[in-house]
Amino acid sequence: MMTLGIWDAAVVTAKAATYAATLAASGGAFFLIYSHALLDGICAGRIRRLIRVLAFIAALAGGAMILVTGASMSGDAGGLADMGLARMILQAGEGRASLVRLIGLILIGASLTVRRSPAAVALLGSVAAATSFAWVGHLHSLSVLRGAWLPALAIVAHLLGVAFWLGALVPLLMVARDADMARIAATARRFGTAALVVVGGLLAAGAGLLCLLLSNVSELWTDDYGRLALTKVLLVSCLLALAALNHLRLTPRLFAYDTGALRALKRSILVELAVAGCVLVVTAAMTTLAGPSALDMSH
Amino acid sequence: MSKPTLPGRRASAARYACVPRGMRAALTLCAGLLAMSPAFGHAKLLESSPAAGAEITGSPPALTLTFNENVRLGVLKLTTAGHAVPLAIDSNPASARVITIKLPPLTSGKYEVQWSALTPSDGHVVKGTYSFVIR
Repeated sequence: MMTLGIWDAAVVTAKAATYAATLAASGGAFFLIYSHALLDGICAGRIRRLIRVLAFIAALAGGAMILVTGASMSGDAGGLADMGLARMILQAGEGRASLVRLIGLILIGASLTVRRSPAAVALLGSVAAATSFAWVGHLHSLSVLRGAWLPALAIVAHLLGVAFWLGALVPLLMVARDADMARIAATARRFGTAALVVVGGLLAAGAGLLCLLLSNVSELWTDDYGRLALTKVLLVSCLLALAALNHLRLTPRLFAYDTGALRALKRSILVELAVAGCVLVVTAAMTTLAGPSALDMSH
Repeated sequence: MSKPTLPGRRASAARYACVPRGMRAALTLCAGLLAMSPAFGHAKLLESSPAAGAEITGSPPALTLTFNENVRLGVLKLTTAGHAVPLAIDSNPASARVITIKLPPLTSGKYEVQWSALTPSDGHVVKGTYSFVIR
């Protein structure tokens, strides 16, 4: 039995950071597109700057992930500079995914820098960056092995839903801190209404993916991959409960200019961000440290 | 005597009171992950020659690793008493289920094998270590 080393933990951390920054940049761009009319110029400008910084961090974290994967394979820091290992990692799917992600991030950055850039460019970049993770990993392998389009479609829908949901949290917090109560209430309601549909699709896609990757329900407590999946399901349930609280209890009170509701909304978003971070760490561990039974070719 | 607390500082502390709780949860989660004994991806080493834990007489001509699916060998290190044994490893290997590496003549002692490989279909890393003894 092998124990988890420092370089393996570094891979999980770099992967979680890549997920977080990429999905936040993509989701932030989605947020700007659907709520632009509700934002004042200063707040929209701050969100644009945040997205550009996130896109830059996503590109750096993606590069770091490839280098620390080399170190994890080698078992020492020498692997960080081993270009043979880096080439092998890029050839095994990570290169394809990184290229699509980089193009998406550049399109997002360019669309936010060039004045009067069409929203379609930001949308295209966001979709490319958010779905870049579908070009590598267990589900890509499953799609290729079975020649099936359903796993690919489900992971694309899942990633777009995650970007929409998690990517809106920091911009929402910025609006809650900077804008007046009427704008905050209107923005929170627009996000909440769209989220009802998007999060429904995200959960359906996630449940479908779990069914494809696990052979038996008992794997949720008997197998490493299943236990991580169960942890993720429990954390997502917490996120759903917080989202429901925001939409059903707090947003209506914002329209009544209730400052207590505004404080509660800010706290709730901060807790959502912390839980979302945990979800991404668990997902990074699922895609790095464990393998689903559906891909076990020993039998 | 306790330190006086500024009202602004108290308000700020209350505003961020939920963050340490979230961070505690994240740290607990990370500790849980570190306690795992990971399988690292879905490819598995089915058998090796010399086998893990084997005691053999005479130097084996080659080291063979057999996997349940095609992999590309990234790293193979053979050490004895803290010294690395030089091996001729292809830096751009083809993917295969059975990987054989020619060994130089080995003297008696305990040898540790450290290997890592990538599954070319999805880029997942599999790795492990084992040892064998030459009498």
